[in-house]
Amino acid sequence: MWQWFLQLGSPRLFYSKTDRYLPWLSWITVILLGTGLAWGLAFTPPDYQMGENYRIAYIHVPMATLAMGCYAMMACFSAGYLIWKIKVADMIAKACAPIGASITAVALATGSLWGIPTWGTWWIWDARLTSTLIMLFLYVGIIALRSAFDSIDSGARACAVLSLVGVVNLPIIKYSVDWWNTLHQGASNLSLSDTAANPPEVWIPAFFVGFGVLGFFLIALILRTRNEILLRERRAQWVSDLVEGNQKESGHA
Amino acid sequence: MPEFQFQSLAEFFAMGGYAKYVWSSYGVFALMIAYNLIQPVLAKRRIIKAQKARIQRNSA
Repeated sequence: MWQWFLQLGSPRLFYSKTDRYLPWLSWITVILLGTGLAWGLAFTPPDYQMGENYRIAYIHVPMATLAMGCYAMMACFSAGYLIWKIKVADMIAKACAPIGASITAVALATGSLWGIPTWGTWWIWDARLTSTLIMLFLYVGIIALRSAFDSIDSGARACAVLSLVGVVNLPIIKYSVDWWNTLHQGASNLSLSDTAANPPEVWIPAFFVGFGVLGFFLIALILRTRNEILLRERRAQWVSDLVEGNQKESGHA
Repeated sequence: MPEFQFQSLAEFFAMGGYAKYVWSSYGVFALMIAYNLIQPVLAKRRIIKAQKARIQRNSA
């Protein structure tokens, strides 16, 4: 396990290993997302208060959770880069930012679409919404900060520090609904009992979607990291060989 | 087994009057997924093209 983890720290081995993981990961993701979304859209009973509109939850909740998970992951890899100077860790952290920004945007947009008919407004400055908007600004700020540096190493260090500072926002998002009186509803209690707020037929499809979007996130992250590896290692012989190999393949057409 | 919750396909698309909100949510989600998968594939093509050009320049 440790060996495997260390190998992923080498750009070349990360590239060749993920080559083998990607097809598997893609199939699992397609199956999980397909099942979960179809189930949530058409096969779970409507909510007794919100009717069919609550089906937005099958997108909104996993997106909001993943947006925070992505931030936590970016911060961990940033710390890994700062402490051990692992280059791949910085490449993964860099790949996290645009994906995280787009996921946060979807979480906010679907929240608004849910809010219009349910709350009567698409936006309100309550703690949950505001702290999530700050996370979007952090992601965008981290992307902008990196592009402001000519040197890869200085940009990487600055982004790693900003990512770590922004971690303070994560517990604020998580506990905002408990600490303050918000219009946003509290955390859902999942339980197996029949009288629970969310019975199993509601949350089981949500689990499928949850792991499905996690798979999608890993695929998107791996694809972006691989591109970054190709760019930064472009003077290495193995990258030249890889490019030449592609040349031969396309040469037949 | 879970059952189909709508009487007809038309009712399924109508989403009990919430069609606008439900389908735009799923639409935004689908666009985000598509962007995050297509962007890196196109970027990889650009990188490989630039690399090939560099290798050819060096060998010429």
